[in-house]
Amino acid sequence: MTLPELDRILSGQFLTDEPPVSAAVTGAYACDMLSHVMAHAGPGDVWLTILNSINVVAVAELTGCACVVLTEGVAMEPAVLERARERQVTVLSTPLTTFQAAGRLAQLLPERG
Amino acid sequence: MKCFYDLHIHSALSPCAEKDMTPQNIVAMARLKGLGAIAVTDHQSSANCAAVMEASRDLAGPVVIPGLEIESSEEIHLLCLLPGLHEAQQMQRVVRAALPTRLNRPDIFGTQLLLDRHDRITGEETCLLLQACSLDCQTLALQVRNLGGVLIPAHVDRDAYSMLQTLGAIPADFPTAWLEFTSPDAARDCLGRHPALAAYRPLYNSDAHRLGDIAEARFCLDLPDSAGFGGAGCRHAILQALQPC
Repeated sequence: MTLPELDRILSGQFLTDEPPVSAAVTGAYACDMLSHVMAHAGPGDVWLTILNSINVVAVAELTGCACVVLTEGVAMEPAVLERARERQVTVLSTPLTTFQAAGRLAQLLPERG
Repeated sequence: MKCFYDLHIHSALSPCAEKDMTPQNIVAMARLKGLGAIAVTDHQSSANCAAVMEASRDLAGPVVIPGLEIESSEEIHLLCLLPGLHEAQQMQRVVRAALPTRLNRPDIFGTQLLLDRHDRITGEETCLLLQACSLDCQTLALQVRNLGGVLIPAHVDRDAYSMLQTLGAIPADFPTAWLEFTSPDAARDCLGRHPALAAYRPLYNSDAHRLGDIAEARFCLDLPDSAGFGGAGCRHAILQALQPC
């Protein structure tokens, strides 16, 4: 799966620039506790969350995850989005719940141990 | 006696704070604003409190209460204020022992500067302070109480790291008489949505990460006249005023 397909798969839209065609999605992680995300999310992951603070951008960068997916139509403040663009963190918003979004991704991604 | 306060200020030890949040700058700005008392509350650390207290003595600045902004295992921010430096250091040890050993990435989170009373950089904190510790709110409250301090849910009106947002309510058994709000407007708004909050007293702090954000002399605590205007007596009186009933 590549990143540019993600908006179609999750019926969402990118809040940051359209990601490069080559960017791959290799896994997914769903969590709203930053400490767990720091410990368990990794490069190539799509991170599903309802969190939208500035620290979401930092944690996304720290873990190297491919994309932050804001579920349930959660928005992001312009200043936070600006920070995401600066740090080249891709952000997508979807009206789906985390459960629904994870369900769609689970059909397309291998389960990780 | 009225004491104008701002009890939630970050120094340059907090990675998200600006580099010019140095002891002398904080004290000078607080004095300029006419504040009688401030608290230095960096994320998960009290390491710069001594320097700010000393700088305030040097510059005849406001009373400085040592503290920390603790992030609990529930990822709730709690304003922790302590009666003295010794207690603040003890509380920091408790928090540090419960902090994951993940290192800071200054390129992502910002630098974590240790400073002395003359604003000289004495070192850098290497452990990431912008992460939760493994102790929950109730456990932390007990620890803080044993040290004679207070633990007040921080910026409860906000979406991020707020006890109200994360737990959906302020648990009745959480030992506080006070809640921190961003502003009276935010508190009114919050009270409209959560009428039960009327049982608490509001504390309005700046949560300043930049010098310009340190509060104006607008909000005050009523302290007994015996508290005096400087040092340990005033610190004690403020902590007394903020104790859970």
